[in-house]
Amino acid sequence: MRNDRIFRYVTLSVLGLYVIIPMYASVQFSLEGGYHGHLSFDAYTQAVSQAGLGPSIVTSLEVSGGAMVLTLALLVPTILYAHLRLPRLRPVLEALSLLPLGVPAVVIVVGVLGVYDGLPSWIIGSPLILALLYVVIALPYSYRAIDAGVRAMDLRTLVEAGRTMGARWTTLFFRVLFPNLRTGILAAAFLTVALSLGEFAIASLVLPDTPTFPVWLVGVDTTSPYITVALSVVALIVTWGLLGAISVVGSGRRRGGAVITAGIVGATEQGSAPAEALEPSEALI
Amino acid sequence: MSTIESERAPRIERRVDGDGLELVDCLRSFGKTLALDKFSLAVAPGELVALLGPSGCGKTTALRAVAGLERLDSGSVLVGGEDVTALPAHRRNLGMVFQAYSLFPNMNALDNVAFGLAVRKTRGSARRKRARELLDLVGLSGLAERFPHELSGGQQQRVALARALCAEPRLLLLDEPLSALDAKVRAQLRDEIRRIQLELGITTIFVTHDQEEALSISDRVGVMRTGRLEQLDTPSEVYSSPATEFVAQFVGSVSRLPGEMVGRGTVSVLGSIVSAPAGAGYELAPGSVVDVLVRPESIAIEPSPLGQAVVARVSFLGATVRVVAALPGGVEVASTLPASDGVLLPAGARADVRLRSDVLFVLARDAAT
Repeated sequence: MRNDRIFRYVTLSVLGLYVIIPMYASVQFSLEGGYHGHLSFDAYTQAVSQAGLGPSIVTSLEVSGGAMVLTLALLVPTILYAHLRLPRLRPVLEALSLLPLGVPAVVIVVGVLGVYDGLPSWIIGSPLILALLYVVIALPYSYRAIDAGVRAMDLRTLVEAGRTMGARWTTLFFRVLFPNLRTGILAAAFLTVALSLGEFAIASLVLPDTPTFPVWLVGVDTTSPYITVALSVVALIVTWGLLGAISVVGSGRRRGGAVITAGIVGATEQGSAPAEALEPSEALI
Repeated sequence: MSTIESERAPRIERRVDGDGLELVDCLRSFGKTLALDKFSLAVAPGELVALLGPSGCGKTTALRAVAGLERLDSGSVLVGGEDVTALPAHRRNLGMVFQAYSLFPNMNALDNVAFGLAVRKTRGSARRKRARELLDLVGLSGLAERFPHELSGGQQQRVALARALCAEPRLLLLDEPLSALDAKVRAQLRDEIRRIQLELGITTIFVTHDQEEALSISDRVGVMRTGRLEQLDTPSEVYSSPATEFVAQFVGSVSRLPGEMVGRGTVSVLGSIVSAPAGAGYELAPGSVVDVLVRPESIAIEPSPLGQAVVARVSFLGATVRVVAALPGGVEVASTLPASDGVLLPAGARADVRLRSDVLFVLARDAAT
């Protein structure tokens, strides 16, 4: 028992140092601003006054927000429907969701832009096109986050219980399904937003004239590394803040929720029989 | 209103306050498997009917068809004379308790129970008052604020029962609600369900594969096989006068013994001539070789140094013992004896075997083989 505890502390300490040392170095570098022994917020104040910062942040927020909304609007109903009515299709969906991991970003851009070629110009040249691409790129993570949340609850029984008690689908979704899927949905939202905020390669190819924050950051890098590092530190703190906020929001007293641990979303207690054990039915529900 | 006797409460006022249920020629198939094969059932208002049968016999499909959770290929479901076949589940006003724990994890017990009224937009105070009444009815008034994960399995099913009853449903549908519970809690909750059903007078369908549960709780038992009702009768009739060989073998336990018809409705078995009930083989001509099915309590196995049978196994069951004896020729016969008699019959002892009462069912030898 004592050895276990020592091992745990050592492991956590090593992991903590692995994260904290680069962070500390970055913070110190940005605060020194090239003047050894003298700390100041100059790099941060200069960063804020850089041309193009505001528009790049707005673009990034638009892209990530759009990607998040589209991801949730597409995946939540699809995964719920697949669990309830098409359980045999779930392995196919899982395999499809993994495809973006096996295809290089440039190939996806070329392929997807070819497909999107027929779309109106106001979509092609806007952050929306990037949001559509990020929905695909984030699919391996967002699909699993929501799917794990659905697996963690006995969806079929909850739906049938609600329906027999007179609940319409909308009531059922907002009063029963969403609260119990909250952690999975928040995890998917976070992963999509985090990926969208930090992605560079696709953004630089698709939206060169309307740079996102990472694309803008690379441009700044060539002139002032201190400002770039200061901005990176801020971006990191914001990302951690998001993760913390989702952890707090998702830590309600519930059975069968999903937990986020270092970006990995997994099922907790199984309330009862898994949905895959159930046959699909053509119900009137 | 009538009065009946109950084990827990000496006198329970039995109300009849529900709608009747009728299923007419219901057909439902899953691929090539016929889950309901022209299944028909009529349940009187206030009656509790248990649907009993092995896994895959269609009992749950029948219940789900009543609830609107399963579409029928053909046939009708009538509740209180109203055809609800095409109505979606949320418009049927039925209460259902599931085998799996089905409480909403994000709500406490009170909110779970009140959910049905909440979706009907019942006023908050009236809703909570009614929910508390129902929690009181199932003996959980002190646990209203607890969340499902803070309740035991038995408590969760009690809350689920209260929730199913809260909106005053037309029917109560119970889909193996006790199967996930341990034996003691199962017996307690079974009695509770019956008490509540009698108090409320609600028409109830209880699906189970546990024959003890079905026989002890219901007004009538419907024994199902391959999508059809084999027999629908009172528990005592189903047990003592099975309509088919399947019912005789599925409900309770039986021994199969060789016999010979000696006249119309009489059969010779184990050296005794006893009455044979109507059924397959009943009409056979005298001299016909038959197999007969006999309940353990109809068999007497007594120690005898010169007996033809040998005790093969003895199983201790508490107040009784189950003794299995091998007859000459290798046929085995089982009997249930008081535990005190069991000590006289150790395995390997010689014994006499005779019939105490009439046989349960007669089968023509062709049908038996």
